[in-house]
Amino acid sequence: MKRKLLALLSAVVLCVGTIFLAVGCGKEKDYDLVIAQLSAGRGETYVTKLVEGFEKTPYVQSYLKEKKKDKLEVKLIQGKAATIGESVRNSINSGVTPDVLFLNFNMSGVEVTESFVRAKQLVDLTSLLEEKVYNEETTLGDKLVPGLLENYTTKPYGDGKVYSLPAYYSPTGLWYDASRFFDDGKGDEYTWQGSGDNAGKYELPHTWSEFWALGDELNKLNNNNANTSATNPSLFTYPTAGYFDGFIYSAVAGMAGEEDFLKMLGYADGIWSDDGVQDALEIVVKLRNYINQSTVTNATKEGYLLNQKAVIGEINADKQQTAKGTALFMPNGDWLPGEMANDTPEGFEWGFMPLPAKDNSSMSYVNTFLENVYLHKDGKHLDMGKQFLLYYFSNEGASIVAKDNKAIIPTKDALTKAKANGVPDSTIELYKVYDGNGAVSGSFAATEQVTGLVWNDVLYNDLNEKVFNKTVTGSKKDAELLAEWTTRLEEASDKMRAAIIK
Amino acid sequence: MNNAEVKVAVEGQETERAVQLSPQKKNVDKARILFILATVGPAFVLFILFVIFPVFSMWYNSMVEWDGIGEKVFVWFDNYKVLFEDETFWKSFTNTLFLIAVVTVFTIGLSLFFAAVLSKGKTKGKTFFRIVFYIPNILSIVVISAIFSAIYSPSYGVIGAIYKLFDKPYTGWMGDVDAVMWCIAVAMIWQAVGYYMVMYIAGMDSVPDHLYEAADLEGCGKFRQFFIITVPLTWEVIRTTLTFFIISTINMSFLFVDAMTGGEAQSHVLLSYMYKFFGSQYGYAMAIGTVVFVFGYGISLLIQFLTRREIIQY
Repeated sequence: MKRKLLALLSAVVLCVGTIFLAVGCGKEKDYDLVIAQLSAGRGETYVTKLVEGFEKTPYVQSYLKEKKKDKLEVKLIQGKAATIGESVRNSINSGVTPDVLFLNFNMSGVEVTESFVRAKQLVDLTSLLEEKVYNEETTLGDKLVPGLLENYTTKPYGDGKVYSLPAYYSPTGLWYDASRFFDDGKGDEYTWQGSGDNAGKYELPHTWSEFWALGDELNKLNNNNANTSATNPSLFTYPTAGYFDGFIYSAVAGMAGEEDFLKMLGYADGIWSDDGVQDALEIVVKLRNYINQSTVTNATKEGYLLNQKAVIGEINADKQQTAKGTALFMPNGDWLPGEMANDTPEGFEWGFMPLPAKDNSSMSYVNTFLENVYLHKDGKHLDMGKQFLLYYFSNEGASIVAKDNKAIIPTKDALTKAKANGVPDSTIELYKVYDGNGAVSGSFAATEQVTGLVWNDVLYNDLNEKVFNKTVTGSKKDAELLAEWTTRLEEASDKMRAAIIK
Repeated sequence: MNNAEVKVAVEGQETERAVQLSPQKKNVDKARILFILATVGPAFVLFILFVIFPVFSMWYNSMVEWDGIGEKVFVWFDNYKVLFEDETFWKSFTNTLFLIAVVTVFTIGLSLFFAAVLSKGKTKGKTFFRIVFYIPNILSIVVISAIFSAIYSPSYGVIGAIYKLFDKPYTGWMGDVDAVMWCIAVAMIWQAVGYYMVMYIAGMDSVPDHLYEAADLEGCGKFRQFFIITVPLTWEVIRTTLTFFIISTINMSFLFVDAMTGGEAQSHVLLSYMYKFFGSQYGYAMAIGTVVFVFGYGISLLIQFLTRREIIQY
């Protein structure tokens, strides 16, 4: 009897539970603002702090008075690249469309952004640029660091209208262990290793020919990277092939020039066979002869930290360095020191430089990694969202981001006041890389969906397998691999060009 | 097969009773139908809602172009046309087939062997070994993947250390296209052996001892006993687990690939390749899903058909 009762009870609980679940899903709270944020390398707390500050602004205060509320109800949808896209889609499907979205373009896992662009669901922000930022007399347009609005992420349709704003900008380039290099600052003959005070250190390469010269010397000592007990480092490693994005952009800008770089972003016909672009692609292919032995195997989403560690070296429990790194250079962004903080020995000094230049008389190019913020046109609180953006780009917003995130947002003041706002010197130092070097920002034109084709795969994600993995490429020569890659790029590029949203 | 027999028997009984109570026959019939509807109905609705509907929805969605936002565009078989020319798709397909074959053969062999040793044999510490073999099954897939990734790792793995002992370069088997699927298969086998071993032990324990005693008296060795007594008498269990193998290998391979290689070094399997498109090209992902469905169902039916033989009872 008891058992029967129990069975009946559990059946009832199950039924009632299901009904509640079904009903519960349909009901949502009455929010005043919905924010979605990719929290990958940026952390989550600073958004909460921003909201707290935003709540004190006169706009929000009068809004609250009118609504007879004492607190702003803000829903935050946060997550890393692996989950945030799905969370945003689910939220939209359940009737809550985020108003403000801190989501990137051209990023695996966050393809919702491209979907929004395709469906023309982004709010035109062109007029917002004319409005004054919170508590200041400067307009948003004047406040932003110049040059950051001229690309396909801010103007996805190429019609001159701005649909998204850069929320962060950070230079990406090559990272190295500063203690292993010296820079004589002279453009004289390249001596790959130093003497006297610089004994045991390598001379920092500034052009590609110097870069390869260093690599050749190391390869000679390491028996072409085939010797396990090699004491000398390999020239290069990469976390995953995905980190070649910025590398390729700056290489193309450096070798082919800015004009060709822009053509490339628009999938121009035949651009991949262009001489300068071919030179840039050749650099990437040539790197296969200089990479660390374990780079390819570790270049997965689980193992990439091991590749990053290869530049730092080994440490013991007391955070003292026990061995130098097994690779010299690695492409990465400004989040790297924070990301590797636990694996970095005390006193370790990171070195950062743009890609080497074509020759002594050419400019080096820095790729600027843009993280974006935009408004969704189906959001129910767009006026509030716009005010939030004006607050974000104000001095007050910038200082909150600096304090709680140790990061610099792309307003002119944010950089000059970064030190006063508590941003570490090492981060501020990075932005000096823009002095005297060219800057590009890589983001391709928005297209309709091309079934079965993932452009980022063809451009860089597949490189790990199709170029760098020796068990795949076998005895193929660099030139063969370059030709194959070019063919893949041209074919994919043709399909993408045909699908560009007009 | 069994179900059919039972049904016939029940129906026979019912008709008998119905004939006996012929004056109230109509009422009884009505009540019976109502009763059947009331008991079968909810389950049937749930079955339609959670099994039949998703399958049809998948078929429909495999013929649309949709990125998760905005309008679905019906494109008939365009997704399939692209899919069947997609090299990575075919590579994923062969990888899945490879895993089904290798994991099944090795797991079935090993778990039958261990089950045979641990069920009837008088091995010392039987219970201890049963527990030891079962432990991998309790661990989560992520933990198992991490353990094996560490073993294979070129940076700090055991294998790398052994290679170094002989001064041979080790670049990591998981980056080697010829070895990567074996690496994944070994982890999957290690994980599954204990589970199937327990199932087989349960089957073997029910085989009466006197058969083995008789065989012993006849001078039949342990090895032969296994093939003429144990296997035929546990055949139904083995047969059922075969279907489990196929379905679980298709599903588990996704988790292992995702956690161990992320599809690098040509190691995608059907489900991991499908998941790659899930967020951005929903229709294409569903086309792959449909292939997985048809393939999984087809191969299970085929195995059922091929392994059918008369049930031997004792």
